[in-house]
Amino acid sequence: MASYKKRKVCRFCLHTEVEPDYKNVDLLLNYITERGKIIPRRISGVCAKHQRELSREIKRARSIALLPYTVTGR
Amino acid sequence: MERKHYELTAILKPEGGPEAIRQFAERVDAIVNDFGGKIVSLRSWGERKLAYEIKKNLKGHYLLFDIIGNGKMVEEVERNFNIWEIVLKFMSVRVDKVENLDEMLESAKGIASLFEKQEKKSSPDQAYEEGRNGFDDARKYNEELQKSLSSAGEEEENVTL
Repeated sequence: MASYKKRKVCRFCLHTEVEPDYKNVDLLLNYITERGKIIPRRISGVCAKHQRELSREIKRARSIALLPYTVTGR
Repeated sequence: MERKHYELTAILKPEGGPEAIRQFAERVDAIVNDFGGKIVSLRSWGERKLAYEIKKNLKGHYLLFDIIGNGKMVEEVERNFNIWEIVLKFMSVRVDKVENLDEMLESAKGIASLFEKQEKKSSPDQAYEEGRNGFDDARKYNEELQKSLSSAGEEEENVTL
C-alpha cells in the first residue's frame, strides 16, 4: 500500500499579511499544545523561517504572561 | 543620533487605578524626553488575566509604548522599571521592520492626547485593532486555520492506518 501524505503548505507563506506577533495571542494559541508546548513544524506544517519567527514570538508572549510557560494538571 | 523603534510592554499592578497608571506613563514620558526620544503611541489593553502568577498577582494592567529613541534611553527606562513597585514585569523589543521613523515622529502627539485616545477604548481587542491593521485578516486566518487543523487531524489518523 502506498502511503499517502498530503503536503502541508506553510500558512504564513500563504497569507503574507499575517505574521507571527507576540501581541496576537489568538494566533499563537494555535501553535501551542494544551500543555503550553510549542507544536513542532512537522505537525503544523509551518516552514522553517516562520517556525523560527513563531517560536521567538511565543517565547516573547510567555515572558509577559500572555501565554503560559507550562500548564499543569493541578 | 542613533534612532530606533522600540516596543515596550509593561504589566502594572491593577490596584492603583487609572491615576496611578497615568502617573506611571507620565514618568516614562519624562525619562524618554530626557534622552531626546519620543513616545509615538500608547496602547492600553486594560486589566488582563495573567497566564501565570507574578509577584502574587493574577491580574495585571497591560500598557504598550511605541518609543523612538536610542539604546541608552531604553536602558534607563528599564532601570527605573526595576525600581518602581507598580511594575510587575516588562519587556522591550526592538522593531527591525523598515519604517518611516520621521513620519512616525511627526504624527506623534503629546502624552496627554495619547492618554485621551486610549481611555476612550477600553477593550483590548479594539486597542489591538487600532494598532495593527492586519488584525482582521488574522482573525479570519485563525478561523480558517482552526477548521483546517481539525480536518488535518483526521487526515493524519487516516494516514497511520
